[in-house]
Amino acid sequence: MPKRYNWQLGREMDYPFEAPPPARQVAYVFDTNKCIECQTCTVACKTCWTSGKGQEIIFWNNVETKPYGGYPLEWDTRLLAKTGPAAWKGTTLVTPTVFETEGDKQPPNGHRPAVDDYSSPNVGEDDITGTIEMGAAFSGVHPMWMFYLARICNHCDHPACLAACPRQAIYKRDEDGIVLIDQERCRGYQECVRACPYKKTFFNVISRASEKCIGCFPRVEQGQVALCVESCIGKIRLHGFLTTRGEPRPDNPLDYIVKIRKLALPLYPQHGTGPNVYYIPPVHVPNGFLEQLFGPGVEAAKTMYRKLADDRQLLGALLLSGASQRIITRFEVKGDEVLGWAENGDEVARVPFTEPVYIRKHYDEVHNVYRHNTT
Amino acid sequence: MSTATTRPEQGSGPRPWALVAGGAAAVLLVAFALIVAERGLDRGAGRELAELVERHRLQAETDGVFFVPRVERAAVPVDPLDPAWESAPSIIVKLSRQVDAMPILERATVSSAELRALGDGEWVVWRLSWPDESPDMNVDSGRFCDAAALQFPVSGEAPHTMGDDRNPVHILHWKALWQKDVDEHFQDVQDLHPNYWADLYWFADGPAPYRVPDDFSDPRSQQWFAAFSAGNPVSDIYRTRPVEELSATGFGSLTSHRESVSDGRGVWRDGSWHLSFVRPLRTEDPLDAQFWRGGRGTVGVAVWNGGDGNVGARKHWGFWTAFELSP
Repeated sequence: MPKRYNWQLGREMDYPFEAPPPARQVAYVFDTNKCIECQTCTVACKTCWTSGKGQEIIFWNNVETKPYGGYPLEWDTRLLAKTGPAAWKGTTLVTPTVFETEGDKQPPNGHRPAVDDYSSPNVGEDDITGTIEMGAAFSGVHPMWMFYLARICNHCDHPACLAACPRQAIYKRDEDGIVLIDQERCRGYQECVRACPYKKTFFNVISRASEKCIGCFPRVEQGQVALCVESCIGKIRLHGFLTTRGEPRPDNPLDYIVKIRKLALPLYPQHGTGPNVYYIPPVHVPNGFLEQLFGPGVEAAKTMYRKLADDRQLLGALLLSGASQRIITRFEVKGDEVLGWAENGDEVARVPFTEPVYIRKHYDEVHNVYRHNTT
Repeated sequence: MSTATTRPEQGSGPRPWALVAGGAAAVLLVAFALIVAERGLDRGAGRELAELVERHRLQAETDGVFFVPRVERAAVPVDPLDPAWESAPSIIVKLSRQVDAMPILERATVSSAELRALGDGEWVVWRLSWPDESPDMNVDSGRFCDAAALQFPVSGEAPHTMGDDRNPVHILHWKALWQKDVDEHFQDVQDLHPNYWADLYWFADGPAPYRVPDDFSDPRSQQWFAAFSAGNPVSDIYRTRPVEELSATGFGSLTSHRESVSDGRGVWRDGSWHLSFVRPLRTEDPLDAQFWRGGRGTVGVAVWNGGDGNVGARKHWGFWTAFELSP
């Protein structure tokens, strides 16, 4: 099997196909500390892309509660039960990826959810890690925790879905690295469903073919961010491109946050697919759990995040989240503002570090009403 | 272009590949009488033809080639359960796990299938039977249907592994799901999940829970049928036949024919599937395998047990079985 270098693992790994990296790689930064699981992203995606017959239980975008939630049910822990926990030596993965245990006559290591596993997308919602004793009182730090994990297709560098498809009906676009299932060619074998560690390919019972998140490619081709990104009311998401053929650019917000500062981390990098949704880990969650999810960079990322107020370049890049419907490919911190430019040079974002505060009188003379403070 | 069945004048002698074909064929004694009756031949010509048929049959038997007799059109059974099949010659095709290409079949559940065939000089009907304790006729996430296929080399040199770059194969593929589509109606979400509910399908007509395709005739309502809109043959919501014709030039190359003249029917009864594949000997399609009266050819068999997760390359299949069509 050919070897490919996986920068997230710090080593080469087996992958059934050789291919140069795309011209650039679509990527996202999701700040888990800001997500409130309002599911606006889920609804925006579903309304647009998966509201047809046969797509009832298909969510290209979902938000689940960790540690107990998961859509489809136990999507991640069932694979972890097969692979065992990841082990790292420094920043190099020691344990095998999903491509390195099954040989060349079987698809990557995976599991196939049953139909019922898709039927309860909110199982585990808001569940915390333990119960609260009667009479307990808050005294500084909660011993229990949970957090929300927003998930879409990772448009992986080394997609397991693509590797598993016996018909080569799945392809990775050279122009932006978006991974698509050829809807004319797929014959519904569901090998991709079985192989994707993130369970982000789905079987459509009306099409009798598999489907997945298309990365809102018709919008990306117009320079617009994905619908899940645009609709995010918490502004937790930043959509852009990673540099793939050359050194990371400090003025590219995605390069800066992901590659240069390593504030945002890939989800389950140990599976070896090179996922491209990068998560800022939740600072209140124990590292033991987070390091299985996000790899060895968790503590460094948490420390960096806690000091964001003093890190204007990094904070500036993050302030671009939700600041524009256009994809920002270049940014610069200027004075008390961060500016973002689209690929064509248009200035599409100008965000102040400190939002101006307006204090209004308690009594509104124009409308003859009293204002209530609702915050 | 080379052809799948060899013309009689080219194929009268023994061939090495014929030696590996399993089983000897028996011929219907009534065939000769029926041919004579159909053609209204005089006694002398009838005797001549009968002798020719008998010569071919004996040679086929000597060569270990499955002989496909010719009967009058009305006597060719399209129904796979037609009693006439009981007196048609049969051959047992040994099946094994597909282990050549990713993904392999890990566990075999079918060891052989029975193949029978009858022709009328213009059409040939293949009858395939194999044991399956329970019929699996629908698909869903993690759920697969039973299926079977016959393959024929378009070129005589095609390997049984779905042909290769220079030697395509012609495939007739039947699926239990498609049979259910044709016998009942297009298998819809409510057929899989009777108690399911969805509030709204944009631009659909009629009452909930809505049925495909009748309530989705508005082109706007088909926007979410991406594979159907892309022309994917597996996504045909207007399917009228349970058999699809395809071409292949090796693993992963399977491609549907836009036009198909083949048909068939599958029936599950008493622990076995019985299928008929019906197709003309000759077509104008260069992608099709062609047959001649008195010609020889090879056929490959594949079977999928949907209940055991068989799908795509996870299948049972056999090597080529040599056959000869009656003159």
